[in-house]
Amino acid sequence: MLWAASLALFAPLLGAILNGVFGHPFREKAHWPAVIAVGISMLASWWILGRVGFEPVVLDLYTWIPVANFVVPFGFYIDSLTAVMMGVVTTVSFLVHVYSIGYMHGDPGYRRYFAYLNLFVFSMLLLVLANNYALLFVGWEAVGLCSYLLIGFWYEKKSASDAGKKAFIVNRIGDAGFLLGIFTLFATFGSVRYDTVFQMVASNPHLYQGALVAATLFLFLGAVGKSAQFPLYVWLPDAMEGPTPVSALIHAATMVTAGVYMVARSHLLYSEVPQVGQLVASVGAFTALFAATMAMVNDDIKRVLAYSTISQLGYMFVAVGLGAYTAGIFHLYTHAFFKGLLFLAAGSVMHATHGELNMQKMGGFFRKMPHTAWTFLIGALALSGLPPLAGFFSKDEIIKHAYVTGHTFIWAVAVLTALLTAFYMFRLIFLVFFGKPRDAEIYAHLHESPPVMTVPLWILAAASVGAGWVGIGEEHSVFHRFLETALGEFHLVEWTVHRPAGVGLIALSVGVALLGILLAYSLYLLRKPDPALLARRAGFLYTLLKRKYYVDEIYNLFVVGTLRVTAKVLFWGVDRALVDGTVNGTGWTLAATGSVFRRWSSGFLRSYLLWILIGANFLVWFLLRSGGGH
Amino acid sequence: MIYFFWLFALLALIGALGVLLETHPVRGALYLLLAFLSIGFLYILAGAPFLGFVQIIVYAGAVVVLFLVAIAVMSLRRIPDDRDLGPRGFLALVFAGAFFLVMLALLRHAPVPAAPTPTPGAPQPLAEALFRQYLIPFEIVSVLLLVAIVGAIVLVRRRPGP
Amino acid sequence: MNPTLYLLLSLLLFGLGAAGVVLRRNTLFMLLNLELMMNAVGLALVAASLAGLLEGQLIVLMVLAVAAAEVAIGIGILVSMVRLKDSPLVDLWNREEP
Repeated sequence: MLWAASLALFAPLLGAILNGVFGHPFREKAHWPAVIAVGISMLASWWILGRVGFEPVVLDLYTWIPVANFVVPFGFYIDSLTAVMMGVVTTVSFLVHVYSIGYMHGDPGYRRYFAYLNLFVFSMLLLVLANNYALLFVGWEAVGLCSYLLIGFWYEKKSASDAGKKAFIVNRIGDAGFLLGIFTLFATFGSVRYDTVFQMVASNPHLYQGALVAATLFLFLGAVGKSAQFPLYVWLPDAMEGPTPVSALIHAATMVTAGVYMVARSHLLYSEVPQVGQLVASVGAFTALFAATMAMVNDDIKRVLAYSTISQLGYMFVAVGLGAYTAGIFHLYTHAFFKGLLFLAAGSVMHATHGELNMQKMGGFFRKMPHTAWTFLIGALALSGLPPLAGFFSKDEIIKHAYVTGHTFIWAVAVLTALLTAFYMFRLIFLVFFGKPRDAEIYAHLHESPPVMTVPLWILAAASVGAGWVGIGEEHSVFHRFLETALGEFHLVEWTVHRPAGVGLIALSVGVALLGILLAYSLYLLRKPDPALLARRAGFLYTLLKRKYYVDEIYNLFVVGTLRVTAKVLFWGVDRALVDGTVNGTGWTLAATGSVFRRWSSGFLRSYLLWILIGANFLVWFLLRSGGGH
Repeated sequence: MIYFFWLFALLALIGALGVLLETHPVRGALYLLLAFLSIGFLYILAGAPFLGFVQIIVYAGAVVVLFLVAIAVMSLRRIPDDRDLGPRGFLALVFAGAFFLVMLALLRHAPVPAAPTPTPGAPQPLAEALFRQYLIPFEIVSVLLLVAIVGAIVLVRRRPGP
Repeated sequence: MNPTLYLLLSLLLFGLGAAGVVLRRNTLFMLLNLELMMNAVGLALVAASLAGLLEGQLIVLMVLAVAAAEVAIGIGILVSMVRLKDSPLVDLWNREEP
């Protein structure tokens, strides 16, 4: 187990070092070390997935920080949750790596790209494997760094480097909260190890209520940043400036789910404070609806997917907030496949159109790129939650859980979001793949992508169809029983009110999905009613959505503006006047004093002698004054 | 005995005043000789005959002769502007006087009593102490003298001019 | 003998010497006055031996050796400076006139 985990963790690091430090000889062959490293990592993860037992395996490699009673080991915590996460991360990573060979071909930063990507896989696995919060935080920050590097991968583009900075800075806010959470945990339990903290909570749950509320809230703030929830979601749409495979891997399938993983990992803490769980679920539900509405009107193919990701992450937080940790992880797992697929397929479209992102210039692509279109369609169906595709099982489980536990409002929001999801996904499909070509020039140059890109698409499409089947049967399914060793006992939380749920609930969620598809069909394919006319009718509402609720503007005005004014005040008031003033003033004072005292050092010998004589006088005088002689 | 003390003290003061005020180099050196000799005799009076003779030989003999030789070599003459009678000279006198006064106050503050049995000033006990207890300082002083000799030679040697 | 009298005389000689060192412009006389000050200190030390300390006399011996060395070096400097500047006046030895 130790060897497999180490192999899975360090193979990508080795790949990153090979490409990043010694990579010059690889150049156009940079994908070889990268893909092989991630392949090894994937095989090792699968091996662990097959071997993981009932008890969590806690392994300490060495002590990383031994400072007084603050001891942080570098070690692994391997249970079924870890194994599932590792499997998802490495499998999607592997496919994205293979896809990138085709997508990034000929890019001047080819080698750098694979070095970053490998480094990301290492960081993500570190985050997943860590056996304490401090090490988790290292992985947490490292994936943030990789995200920053990859968003700004084409740094010569101003918008890309700005987006990278935005992601980094917004995440910083969440990370500050995360750090405070770790501090709170350490102050309360005297340790940041999972096993110690969990044991202490389990042995005396009521003793730590207050501290747990603070710690879980702080940790959730970190999750809000990393998993792009309201109000810190603003960085994710901009993160689409990065290469599309990166968006697929980091900003859809893996990194952004770190927050969900963290909450699931800390489920023992969150189960003790249901009121925090309520907040988590509420934030998730609000974000899900909020992001879905923005996805409805956006014309940028990748940004629609980005808002969709935010929305789906909201679903996951609804699940983990309401205590359905397994359902949350289940959705994370299926979402990784179909959202990865959607992004890669979108990348394939971009590859064909030479970077065109505006859906209004597309249309009728189905005939020219059938592989991409089919796989995209499968992904969209999975995301919309139609049976028997993966998204149906996971999303339905969450919606059902919200209903069963009596959170009717959250349930209603989730169902409404499901409707919007189906609508915006099929709006995208009808605009891009069906109808008449709206830009003849782009259409003329269209071509299907090479097999190195389409094969990963088909593999992911197969996963998007079949991945949900392990969850058939809810509590008695393969997936649930597997995760039971890690999360199962806490699935049912005491404060929930159970309501009977029947086939009607399933019919409802399938129904709203179909309704969404139909709406999109009538609006964007039949043009009946014309969407442009509708937009004009909606007036302010449409503009509000189109301008993304003016959130960026509000942040710019209030947060950035305030900071800017503060910075200016600090710059002129403190730095220039006080600090520079002190420094220059010191120099000036010394120079002035020097110009006075310089006269003493005349080099005139007898003058010095006179001073010595005067000094001797004073010495003896002081001796006398201080009762000298004795 | 006390009359001898007053006599030599007076002579020493005359010598010191001469050194202070005389402007002719040779006469100044001779005043110094007078002071050195008087101090030598005062040493003998104070029961330190060895020290007294060394004083007369080294100071009154060697040092003063060295000064006179230097004066002769450089053919120094009287310099009319020698004494500084400006503010700096005035201050020098004032502070020298002040120093005398504060030291006097110090002396009044802590008078030095005479020992009931005066220390032996004969060469033998002095040598005993010097060559046993204070051997290392003695050796160091000899090294210092050697350095001074070498230094004096280096200083005065005529270099091939630039 | 009374050591206080010796100390008094030593103080007087020291004061005269100190005044002379500052007062005189001729470097030769400054050196002479310096010697005088040195002897005044010697006198004070001998007074200490009158108070029962043999070390006083020993220090005088050391001071004597040091003074001899000082005179040798001092006159050496004087000779080479007079060669250089054609004058024994210490005020002229400055790089520039004050």
